[in-house]
Amino acid sequence: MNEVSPKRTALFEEHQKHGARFVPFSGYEMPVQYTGIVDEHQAVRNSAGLFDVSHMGVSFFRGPNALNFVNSIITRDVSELNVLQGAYTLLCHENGGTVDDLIVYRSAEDEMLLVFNASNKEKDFEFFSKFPHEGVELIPASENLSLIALQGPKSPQILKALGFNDEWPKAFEVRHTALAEISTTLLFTGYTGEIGCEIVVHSDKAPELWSKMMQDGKEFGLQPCGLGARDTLRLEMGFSLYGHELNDQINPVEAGLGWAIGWKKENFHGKAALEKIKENKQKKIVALKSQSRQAPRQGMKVLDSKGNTTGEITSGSFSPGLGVGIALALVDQTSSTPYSAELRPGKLLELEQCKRPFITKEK
Amino acid sequence: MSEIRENLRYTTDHEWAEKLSQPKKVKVGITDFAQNSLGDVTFVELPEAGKSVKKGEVIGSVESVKAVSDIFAPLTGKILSVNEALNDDPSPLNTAPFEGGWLIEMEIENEEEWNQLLSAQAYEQHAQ
Repeated sequence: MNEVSPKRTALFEEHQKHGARFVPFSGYEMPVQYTGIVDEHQAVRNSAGLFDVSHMGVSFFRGPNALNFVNSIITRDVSELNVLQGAYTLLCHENGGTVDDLIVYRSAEDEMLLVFNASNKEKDFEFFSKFPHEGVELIPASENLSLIALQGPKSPQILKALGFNDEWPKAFEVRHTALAEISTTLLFTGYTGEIGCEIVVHSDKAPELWSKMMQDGKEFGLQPCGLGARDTLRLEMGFSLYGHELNDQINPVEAGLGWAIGWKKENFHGKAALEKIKENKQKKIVALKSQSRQAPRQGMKVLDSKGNTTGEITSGSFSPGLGVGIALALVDQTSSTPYSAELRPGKLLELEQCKRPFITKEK
Repeated sequence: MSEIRENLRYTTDHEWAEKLSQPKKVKVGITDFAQNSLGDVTFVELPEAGKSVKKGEVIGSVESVKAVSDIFAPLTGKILSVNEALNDDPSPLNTAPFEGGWLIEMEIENEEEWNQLLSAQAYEQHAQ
């Protein structure tokens, strides 16, 4: 991490008004919590939460060939993607390691909207730029756009109060619409396991929209939520986080994301390497649960049933929903449960393997 | 602003110590400043009663959603009892760090060490 002073999003002052506690994250000064991580976590599960995720990158690729260009590089087969639809995908190196995980949307007939992880936005853009892209205009992520995530079961009522009267779209759909008379693009996705959307809005209008949303959302229990709750919410769903379960060395097959790979596609970047890895997996991501409130933490060694080191915890936290510690770990493919995490030399925390997601929601 | 109580002594690790009515008996906890920095406390690992400890020794840990912090023995002596109620519900550490959130009671060996602990004023400067 470089030591230059962190950037602020357009919503910084709104966060200050709500009493946010800030942390440096991917070069930005971001709110980690307002009232408390557990409180914000529960707000999203029970009513709704509003997150500033403007540190992420929103990039546009434009031109009649934009869809084919993206499809020829990413792992997912999006050749059949309709206008106003999106899909989760990986972007891989030639050797199969993961450049980033991202969501690509066909936001218009001849336009692709891509949402990159904050720490990868420059890397991703450069990666795409290196491929021949004649006739496709590549527009990098810019501070002129902000991204606000509305998440939780009360999201439909809140969007309605702001003037969105359409039928609730399916997951990964896109809508261009005005909210509180501010022009926005709604991406019906999220990172919490709850229904909701991510809202692309011009940064000069972002504070006005945020404040209007907080106002109209109040009666539905809407709360501002920080990155702390965002992390516990995503971990309860078992979602991968780049830099933890995925990185330049960890490939999507071993990360358990084979479902997002279009094996039948003629080609995509890293296909040959991933096909080989698929036949000879060395590692796997497993979901682990502690029997107590004590949580395994990122970086702790994971031991197998014989007491041999077999990998490490990639993400670990207390789960507000389950009341116990939960974790994802990257371990040897041949290892098996019961696992344990080394809290410190000589002290182990027993872990039970379970399925992802840790929490199943009634839809 | 974090609360600092006049009648307590403090350590630079953001723990407080209180002299009880019985001689050499001291109660220990984490400060309001500490609980506020940690955020929601989710788990407390406490030492066993009866254990002898040295000043500065790690005797347990406090976990919040995001982080784990060690608990240090503020003084040399013997652990007399621990706050077992925190095993099931550690929330008093956030809501009442000087009351229901106490961690241990101990019998101290050395009055000199007690005198070296920070006063409320000195701790206030340290916690700024």
